[in-house]
Amino acid sequence: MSFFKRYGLLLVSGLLLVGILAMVVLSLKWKNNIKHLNAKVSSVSKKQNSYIHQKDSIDNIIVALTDSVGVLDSMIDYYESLDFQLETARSQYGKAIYALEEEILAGDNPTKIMYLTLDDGPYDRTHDFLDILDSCSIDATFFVLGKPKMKAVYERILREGHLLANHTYSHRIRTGLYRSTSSFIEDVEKLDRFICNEFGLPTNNVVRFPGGSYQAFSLRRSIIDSLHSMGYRYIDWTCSTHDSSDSCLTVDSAFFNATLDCDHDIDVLLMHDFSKTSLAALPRIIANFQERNYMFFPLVKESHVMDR
Amino acid sequence: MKSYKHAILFIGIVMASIIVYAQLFMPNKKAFEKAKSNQEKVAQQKSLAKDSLSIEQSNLDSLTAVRETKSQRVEEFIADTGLYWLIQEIDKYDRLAQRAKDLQLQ
Repeated sequence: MSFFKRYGLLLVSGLLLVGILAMVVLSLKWKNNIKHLNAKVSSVSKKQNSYIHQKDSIDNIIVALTDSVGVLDSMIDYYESLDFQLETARSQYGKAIYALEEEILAGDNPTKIMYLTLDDGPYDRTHDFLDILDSCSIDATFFVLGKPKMKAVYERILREGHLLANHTYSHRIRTGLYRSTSSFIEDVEKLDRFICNEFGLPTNNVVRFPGGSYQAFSLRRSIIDSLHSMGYRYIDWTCSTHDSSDSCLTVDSAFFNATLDCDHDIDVLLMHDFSKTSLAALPRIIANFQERNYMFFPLVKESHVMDR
Repeated sequence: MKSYKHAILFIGIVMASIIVYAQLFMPNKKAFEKAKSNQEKVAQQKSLAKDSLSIEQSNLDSLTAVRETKSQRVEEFIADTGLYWLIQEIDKYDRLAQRAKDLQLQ
């Protein structure tokens, strides 16, 4: 008992100290482990924040990209609709001309219509014709051939509001154009392909036979039927300056040829781009028709004068 | 004898206080488990954020590819000279149609 009294308290204090030390050591160990874990958590959190930040940035880019794709989509839609728009615009013009001609033919409208047509071009002289047409604000129809070197002239014709129509690619009347229906049709299609390749445009589906439809003789009906089945119409003319048939043609006679023969409500005047005489007579011819209440339009296949 | 009892009582109180303090405030296994669970939770969130990022990245890649294709298509259209003539031709027919309509009386 005296031993316990003497050393018991010391022993208990010692045990207590050892226990406290053990707890402190264990605590430090846990503290270290927790610190290590927290460091990991901090690092993972940083990465997570970095991912979130990157995702936000990507989200912003996606929003901008989506907008940009939307703009591109609308541009593509617009470009892809242009062919349809052209077809619609052409059809609207056809309908408007048809309705106007109906009024004129019924005697309800005092206006007359002149379809001025220029064949066999383009030539360098076509520029001179275009200058006159431009100064008089006249829209004409150019029955062109395939002439790859004259691209600038085709461009000017198109740019200045005139229409291109089909006069076959080669115009080879005496060398096989009228040998067969297929040789004629191939030449027509070749010109359309040429215009389409150069300008991405179809012609106006109006064809004029080189030399006139009666040059085709016995093939005429067959060619016309083929043209119709392909969606084309053909046109001859009601009056002409006779610039291709009369080698001694004077300016006065070109003027009288054109103006005296043309006395219908709707007329189709033929001249050729190569003719210096027709070029010289053209301002007087235009003035004469304007005085007689003729309005100039380019040809469209819906017109009443087609297939004549 | 009385001072001995006091000493035992004092030591008992000190021990109990230390144990309570240690349980409440000193790092221990329970705190470690809590930290570990927190770490797992954060790791899981990080993994989700990473997955989400890779999905967004893949969306971005596909959208970029779509945009590239559409840009090329638009550039092709713009480079196509026919486009210019198509627009010119549409304007021309619109103008001609209007002129013909203006001349109509009915």
